[in-house]
Amino acid sequence: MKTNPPDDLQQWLETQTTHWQSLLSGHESDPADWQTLLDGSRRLVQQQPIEQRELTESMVQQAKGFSRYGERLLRSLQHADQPAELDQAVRELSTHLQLQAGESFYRHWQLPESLQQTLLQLGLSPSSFSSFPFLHNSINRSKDQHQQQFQQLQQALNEFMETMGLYIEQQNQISQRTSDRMIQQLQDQEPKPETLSELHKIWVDCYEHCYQQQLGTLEYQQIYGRLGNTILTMQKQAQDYWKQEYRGVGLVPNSDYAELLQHHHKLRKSHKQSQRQINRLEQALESQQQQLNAMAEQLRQHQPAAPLRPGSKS
Amino acid sequence: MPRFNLTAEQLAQELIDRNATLIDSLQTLSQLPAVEVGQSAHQTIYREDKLQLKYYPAAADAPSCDHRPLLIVYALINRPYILDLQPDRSLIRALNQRGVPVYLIDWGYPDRADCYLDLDDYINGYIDNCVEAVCHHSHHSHHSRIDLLGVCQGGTLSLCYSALHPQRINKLICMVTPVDFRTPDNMLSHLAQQLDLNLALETNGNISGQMLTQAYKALMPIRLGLQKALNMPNQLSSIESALNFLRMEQWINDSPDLAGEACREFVQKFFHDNRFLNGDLEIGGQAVDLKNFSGPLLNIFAALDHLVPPAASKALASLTGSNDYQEQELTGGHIGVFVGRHAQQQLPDLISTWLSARP
Repeated sequence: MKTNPPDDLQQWLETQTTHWQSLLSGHESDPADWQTLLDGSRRLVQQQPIEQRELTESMVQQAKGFSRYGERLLRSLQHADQPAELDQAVRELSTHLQLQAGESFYRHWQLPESLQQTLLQLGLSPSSFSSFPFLHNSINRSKDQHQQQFQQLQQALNEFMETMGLYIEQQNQISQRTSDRMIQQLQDQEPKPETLSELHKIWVDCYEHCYQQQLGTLEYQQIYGRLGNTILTMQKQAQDYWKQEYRGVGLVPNSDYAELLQHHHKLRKSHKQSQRQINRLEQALESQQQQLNAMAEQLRQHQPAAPLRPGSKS
Repeated sequence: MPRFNLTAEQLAQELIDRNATLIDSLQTLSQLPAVEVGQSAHQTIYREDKLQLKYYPAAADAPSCDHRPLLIVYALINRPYILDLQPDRSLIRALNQRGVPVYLIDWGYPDRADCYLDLDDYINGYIDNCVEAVCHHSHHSHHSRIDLLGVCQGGTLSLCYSALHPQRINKLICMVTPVDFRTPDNMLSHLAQQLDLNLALETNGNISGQMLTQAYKALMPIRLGLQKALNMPNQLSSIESALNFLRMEQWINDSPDLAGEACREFVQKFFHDNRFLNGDLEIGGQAVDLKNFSGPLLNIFAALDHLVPPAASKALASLTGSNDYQEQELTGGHIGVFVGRHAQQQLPDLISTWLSARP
């Protein structure tokens, strides 16, 4: 059975409710602090697994965004029956939702932490130099080699940034088309949406439609592929960098470990194939043995009685 | 002309209600017991490396029809417990209740030591050994041929296996199985064409499960991201609905890494070269010809599947050598076909009836 929420969350809800009711009656009262809700929700689910804590965080953030836009629209409705321009209202909603969604979009393309470390390591941000100070005391790398690796990574990083620019452009196009489609839909659609949730849903449907169209273009696919491949290229370059470092201090680099794994796999495969062959031979042998036993049994059954010896009684 | 019938009063009430639901859902979340999945009774009858072969016996009170053992080959992506998510959403349990003894391959979580496993290892090694183990398992030792059910990528692997070892398979069922990987509506395929899997393998060894989950979410980013988070408070309105929701969430995010070489080979042979259609498919040096399997084949696909569009599955009709081929389109999407409420009756009925009609 569910119990009542803790006092701080109940208080938060009451403050926020009062705030909106005041707005409706044309007065102002302070809104509830979303940070209070966030802190309270974190406390409430702190015993739950991390996945649920993350879900909670995401749920509260989206609710905050929804309420923020809702309040803007509410104020706008307070001053007129409709927002001044449909286009403007839809584009505001679109911008708001695009911002809300943006974080998860770009998290997809965030550089892995180890790669960020290496980029820093190569001098792109000397202030964060070295999470492995013992290694750097031992580096005997020539300046030329360092310079070459730096340039390669710099080049890959530039390509990544350039491709990210193209990706953002693609996202902007999708957003633009989403707004156009939504405006059209709101003009044509009957009955008109009666809640902000319905407006939200229309935007999501329009967005997914436009996104699918963009996804279907070779240009988008190539940009998507380039982003992924550039990150991989940088990771590979970073590994090559560390390979030298590791060797320099007598540690086994990743590539040597991979070679060992490959060798191990070949042995395992060969062993399993031999084992399968042995099993098949054992089965064949067992089957032969059974046939042999059956034939021996048949022979015993059909063996003629031993001839009588002279002098014996018949 | 008004563009939306939204008044300030309505909007204020909506915002108030929504926040009340949010607080309520936070309270639900804080009181949840542990989320459990895969609860149907089973025993592990075979282990090899990370793999486990699980046996789910037919229910004792099931109608007695002498079903052959049914071996389920799940995809290498995500975890097979989606087929036994919870007691009232379990394809495996529903099949057991209809008298079908089920064996399920659980591939486990490949790690760095598995990154050189290839498709030959999976198909001619693991699957073949599991078929052998099922045949030898005491309850079914009188069956030398078993029935095989492949799900999604597991269906593709099962098609290869039945073509390479037709003498071991009595009947084959493919569920939401991609056969033609280059249909125009296959967005995953479009994205996969551009990724350099050789570089990925060289760099990371395995392909990160987390990256795959993100790639799937990237097919419907807003619906599966922002919109889901926004609707979440409604899903968490009661303990029961919250657990239903969280079991699904657990499954979505429980994504094992893919053995790098097997993934590279799969993407190259199927996504890039579309070898079922274009021919010249080889696994472990042996030619794979789908005409080799002539037994009964049931091909099930989902009408709203955005990962394996129906056209990708339907291509099997013209490629199979089955002399008893049947197609069945079900409502729902790629996952809904297993876990949707109506799927708990329709799908197991379809499978068990089809199996029992063909001894």
